[in-house]
Amino acid sequence: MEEEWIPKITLFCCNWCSYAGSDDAGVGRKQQPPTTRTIRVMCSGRTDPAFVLAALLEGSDAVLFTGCHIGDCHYISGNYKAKKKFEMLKEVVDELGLEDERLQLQWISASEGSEFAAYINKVTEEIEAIGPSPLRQEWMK
Amino acid sequence: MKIGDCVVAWSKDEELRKMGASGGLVTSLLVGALETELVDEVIALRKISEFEGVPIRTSDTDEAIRSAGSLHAAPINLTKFAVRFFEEHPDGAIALPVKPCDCRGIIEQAKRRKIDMDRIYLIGLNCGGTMDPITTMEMLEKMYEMDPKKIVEEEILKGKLIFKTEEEEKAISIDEVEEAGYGRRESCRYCGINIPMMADLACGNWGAGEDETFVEILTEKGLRLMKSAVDHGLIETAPAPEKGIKIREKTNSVMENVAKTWYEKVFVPIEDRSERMKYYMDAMEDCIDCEACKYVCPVCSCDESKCIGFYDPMDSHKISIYHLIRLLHLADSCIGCGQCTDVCPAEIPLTILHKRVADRIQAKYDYIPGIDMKTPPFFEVE
Amino acid sequence: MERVGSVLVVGGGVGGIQASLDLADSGFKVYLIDHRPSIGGGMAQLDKTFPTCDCSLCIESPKLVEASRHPNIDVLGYTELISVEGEAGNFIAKINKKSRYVDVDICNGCGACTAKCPVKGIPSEFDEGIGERRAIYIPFSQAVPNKATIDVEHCLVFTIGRNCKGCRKACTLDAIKLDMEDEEVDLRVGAVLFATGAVPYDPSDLTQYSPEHPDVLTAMQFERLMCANGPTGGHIKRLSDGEDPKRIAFIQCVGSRTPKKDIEYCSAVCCNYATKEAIITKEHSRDVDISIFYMDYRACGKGFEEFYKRGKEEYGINYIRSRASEVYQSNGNLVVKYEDLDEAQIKEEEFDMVILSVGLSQPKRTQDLLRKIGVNLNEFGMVETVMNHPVETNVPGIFVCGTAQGPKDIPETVAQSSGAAGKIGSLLSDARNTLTVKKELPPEKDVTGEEPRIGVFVCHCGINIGGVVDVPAVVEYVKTLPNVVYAADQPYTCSDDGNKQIFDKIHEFDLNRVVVAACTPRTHEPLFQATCAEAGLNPFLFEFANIREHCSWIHMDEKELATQKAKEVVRMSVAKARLLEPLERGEIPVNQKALVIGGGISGMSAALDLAAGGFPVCLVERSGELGGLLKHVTALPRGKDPRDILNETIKKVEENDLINVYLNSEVTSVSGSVGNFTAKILSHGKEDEIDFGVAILATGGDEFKPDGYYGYDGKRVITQLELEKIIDEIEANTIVMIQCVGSREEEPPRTYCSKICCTEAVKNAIRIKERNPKTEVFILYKDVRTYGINELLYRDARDKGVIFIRYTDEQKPVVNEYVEVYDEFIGQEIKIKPDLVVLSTPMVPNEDNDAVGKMFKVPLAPSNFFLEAHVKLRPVDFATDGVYLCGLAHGPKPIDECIAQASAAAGRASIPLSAGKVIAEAIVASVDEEKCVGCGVCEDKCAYLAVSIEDGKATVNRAMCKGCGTCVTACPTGAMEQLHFKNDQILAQVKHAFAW
Repeated sequence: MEEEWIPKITLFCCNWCSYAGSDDAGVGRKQQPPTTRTIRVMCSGRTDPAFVLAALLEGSDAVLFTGCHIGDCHYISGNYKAKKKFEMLKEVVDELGLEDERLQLQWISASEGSEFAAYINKVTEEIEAIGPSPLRQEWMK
Repeated sequence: MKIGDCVVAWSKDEELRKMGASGGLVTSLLVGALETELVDEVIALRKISEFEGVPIRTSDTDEAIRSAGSLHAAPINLTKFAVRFFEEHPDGAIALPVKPCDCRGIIEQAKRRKIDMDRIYLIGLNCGGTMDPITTMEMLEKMYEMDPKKIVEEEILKGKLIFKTEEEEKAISIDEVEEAGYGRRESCRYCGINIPMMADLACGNWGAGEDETFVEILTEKGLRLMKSAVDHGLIETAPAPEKGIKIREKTNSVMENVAKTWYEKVFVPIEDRSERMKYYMDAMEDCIDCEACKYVCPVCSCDESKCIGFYDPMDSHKISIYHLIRLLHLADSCIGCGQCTDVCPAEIPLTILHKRVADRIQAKYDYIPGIDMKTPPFFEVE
Repeated sequence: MERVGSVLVVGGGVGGIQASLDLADSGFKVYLIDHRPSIGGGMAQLDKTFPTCDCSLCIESPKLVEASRHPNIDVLGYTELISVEGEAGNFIAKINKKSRYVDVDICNGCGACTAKCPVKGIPSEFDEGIGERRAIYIPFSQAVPNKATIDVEHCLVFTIGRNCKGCRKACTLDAIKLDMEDEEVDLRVGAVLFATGAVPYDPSDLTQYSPEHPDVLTAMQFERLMCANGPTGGHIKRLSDGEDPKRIAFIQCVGSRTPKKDIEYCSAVCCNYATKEAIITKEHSRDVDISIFYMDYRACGKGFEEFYKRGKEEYGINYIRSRASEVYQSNGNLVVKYEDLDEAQIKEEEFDMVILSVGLSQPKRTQDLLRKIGVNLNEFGMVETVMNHPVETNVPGIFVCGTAQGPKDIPETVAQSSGAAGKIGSLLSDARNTLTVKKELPPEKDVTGEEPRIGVFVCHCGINIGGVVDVPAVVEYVKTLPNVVYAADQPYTCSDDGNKQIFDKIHEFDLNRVVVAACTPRTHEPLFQATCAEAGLNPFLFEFANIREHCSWIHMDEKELATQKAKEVVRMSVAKARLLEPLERGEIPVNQKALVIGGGISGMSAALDLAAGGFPVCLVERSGELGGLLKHVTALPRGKDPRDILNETIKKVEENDLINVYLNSEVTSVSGSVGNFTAKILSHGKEDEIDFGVAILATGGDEFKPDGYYGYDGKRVITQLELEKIIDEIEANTIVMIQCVGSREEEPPRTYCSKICCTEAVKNAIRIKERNPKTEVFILYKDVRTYGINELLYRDARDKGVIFIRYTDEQKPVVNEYVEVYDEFIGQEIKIKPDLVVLSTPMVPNEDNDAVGKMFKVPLAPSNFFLEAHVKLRPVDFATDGVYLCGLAHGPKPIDECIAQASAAAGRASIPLSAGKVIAEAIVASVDEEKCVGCGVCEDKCAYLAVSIEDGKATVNRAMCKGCGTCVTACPTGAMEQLHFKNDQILAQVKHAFAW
């Protein structure tokens, strides 16, 4: 393992809201720990749970599902469908023994830069508290 | 006769009545469905020995007649045979005898548009469980001290597993053989769905007399099947006696309780997260990526699929993305039929792993796959 | 006289933007000017919008970006109109591009200058004075154009002549030009559209409300306080002491409905925005007590009544029917003094914060300009229009939309904007596509089968990236990645030099994939994609890596880790780029004919507008004659006799060669999609088949027949429409009108407010009084909802002696020989003996809506009116492309709003019709038939009905697919793919996210 471990968080953002919210955080210079890697999708409905599972297997300590607030979806109801998928995935991931913090869903609007930054700070702290993903540890052996 | 009726019925053909189990009714219904052109083909299990049966799809009545007789040690699921039929004949109709797990597989496939429920006649068979042929032969030698080759008939009656040769008959309690690791397949032991109430007819010997079948008529299609066989002079029916109905109910509830006890024994919750993770990882570690579990699965409708597509042989994870995706994709629809465990060359207890995940999801969404046409949560839109 | 194919749109609020987009999309060159540095208008300042509480900027910002990127829209911020001369079709408009002292061609909006400006604490206009900005500033982070502006009123160089170099040093691009001057330009345009908007009423002269107190805010200031990008980051707190308020009061009708002559009218939006702000405040913190002091609650609009009810019942907001007379300070808190109208008492209550729900007023400078140009204004400074021409001014060729024409909400503004765009399109239809540009591109290089050859360009963005991330180290790392054949750093990749370098290197290294690591793709991707296209590379072989907003700007103190992250972010993009495939934007030919269903005033207006644009129309009417519901109306609140309007319109329709009218006919089936529909029409027992490219649903509505309500018999107890018929003959001493009969009910379908009945009742009461002042007229109401300038009618009616008595749902009036009603204000039961009782019943939707909706696959709201694509920004569109709606089919509304919507629907429909084609999205779903097993999950998941299962395989209709990718996620086999976001492409990003 690396000398100093810092959380590795894979972040799925929808093009219209949460990616824009993340941009807004940047424009506002809202400081965040460098723990996230962002994958942009057009709609949170495109965040395939299979990508999340892959990210976890590949050693992400956490995966975040983000998108427009319910009702704000650029594609009418993609985020609603994403939520359904997420809830099911959450159950599976929990059964597999991963902690609650390692898979999260958060709606972030285009103007919520501060919320976005606060959220990344919060998640990073949570993951720091629980340590590296056991899936990753297994994989590293 | 009308929907909801319980009757006893038997084949009018003396030979069939002898040859088939419980009065040859199921075979007669298949023959009737073909002869009255209700269906284009039927599926039946052609018996090769007491331990080997081959599913055949046929439009030939003689062939159907030759398939008469019940098999307990041929744990084949017929769902995908029905799927193939509709792939070849999208507008055709078919009839087949189904165990509850066949029926559940078929209903799940219908939700995935692979089967047309209006044109499939499901002759449901009560099921107390099926056995794996290899272990059964071993059991016969070790526990029954009988030559498997000489077995001509077997049945489950009053909690006992009975084998017959031309010469003798031996019975040992199911509990005893299962304690010893033999008997029914693991997935059958904890399966609590014994009477296929989601089929068109529910047939069985529970509550029936010698050489007759107890039948509950469940749907319009079931009624049609029965009527056409009666009209064609193939079968005879009589109202089911009150006593028979009671016996059937009682047998069912006994079986349900047995299943419940087994379920609790097999699915001991693993409370600790890290132990849970270790449990899944250790179990899956032996996988050799043969994909047999996917191809045999009766509720999976894919050919080539995401679980395979996302997997890269260069990955070296203890638990592969293939299994993770399958755990997720089957989470709402796994019927726990045991096929995957049966075929796994690495002897991974796949059904139990899948069912552990699926039971949580199915409880969460209050969804039981394969018992009605309710949309699976994975499909749901609003 | 030759007509010019360009249009000047004045005002860059949501109305101006919508009109610009519609015009540019239908073949006109557009100049969109705004005197503010950025477009977006008031909507950009809002936190949320009612009644759905959508994030305002989230839904508006894509439009801002679209306008700024549109090749045929020139967005000119900080620009004023000086004069307009000429005539319809050919005007010269003189504009002044005010000097920003920043060269907009060079400035890339990085904001470095702002951070270095020493002048702090200037009240920000965007934050309504409660936030601060500096002397060089960009109003908000999503500003369009995203350019800095120097405020010479505060800049030290201009005010005290100090040689301050803060911004000039910070700007490594050298974009700041202190010697810049204003520039006057003459634009030749065919039409001018005033979308100049209204502004929140300035309450500083209403001293009784203590407007100077820091905890007394206008509603717009409160929006900024609630908004995440506002001065407190969305934290609702008192500006006096930073405490969280526990009790908030909203005072309605501040600066409207007052006896003061210029603000007599009702501002139409304040009741609903107050409820919205109250609900959002409650969502921030449930334990805030909120009271709204109102006179009549005016929930006139689709979904507003239900919204009001939610505010009351779900959020526990106190609505106090009252007149608030004073707000004064006491012990650090604020006391509201008011007259409780239900209890007829003067009361006082203490609050921590008071929000003034200020009305909309017309800015003086716009009024002066309009008068100078010769546009008639009414006594309130609003542009005067007539009932049947709601977007046309008295000057031919000069149009108006939005709140410049009168107070209205966003969807009405957007409808008028599209309507005005449609009208302008018809006026200038000969000049379509004469001034628009289309770029010629070199032939595209075929990259199939080629090994990826990736070029990576890493931007320093001055010090924005380079100051934190070790850019050369990133470049060195990138060079080690497989398939990367070229990598280099650049000071500013977005500059002309940067783009030229990309262009050159594509040729020099025979690159077939390009990655730029710089800022956000949301603003800059189109630029680099265009550069690739110019170099002969398919634009979809380009991939972005965001190392500024998502890296350097947010990890300023962690340079090493930021550099590590930048490497990994670029690595992810390279991994995706390796798998990119060229894409094409498909073109779908459009049949240039339209179908309009419904021959009422809305349907006829839409048909006429389409025909004026040169498009043939089939107009299908179920009954035996044209005219619809308006046939039964004998007077309007203002202006002409409606029968004249109707006859004139019918005549125009009948005489128009392009309009084919089908009477006694109905559409029985529809197939196809945008551009190519086919419908069967059953007409006089025989079936006709017609082909068309677009359809407008103007199915209209009817008056609710109140059987079983208040002894309705059609004789002594009648409806308002029945009154219209006999109003000039009735002999009655006493007439009682009862409002809200069959509307605003508890259960669907009629939970809604029908919007027009109050005005209708007041109008008819005045007619009765004018005919015979001795007739006693009583109006029993719940709230008098004479919104907008109809408020004047309400006043007029009271002046003429019409008696208004309020009733409540708990104590409804009783109609027998007498009408009995309990008057809360005087606290006693009143008995009236009327000769005639008139029930004001709601508009109800056409009963065919369900069937028509199913045929076109468009949805209905619970009220059975049609449900538009978006309640705010797409009021006349459906989510299904090529199908539009207008008039009563959308919901109850008065005739001028119906006509504005009809023009809007026609305008929107003209976009595909005039183009003759629709460009399909490039990023769409596509099916691998080999893998597809036809399970149909994708079909169920598609919100746009673009996916269907045909012959056991999924098929995507490219014309309808919007490319969200939801179906791709649902597909279990992987047969469904989203182009440019394919499974293997995203998976590659996942696998390359972290380097170990």
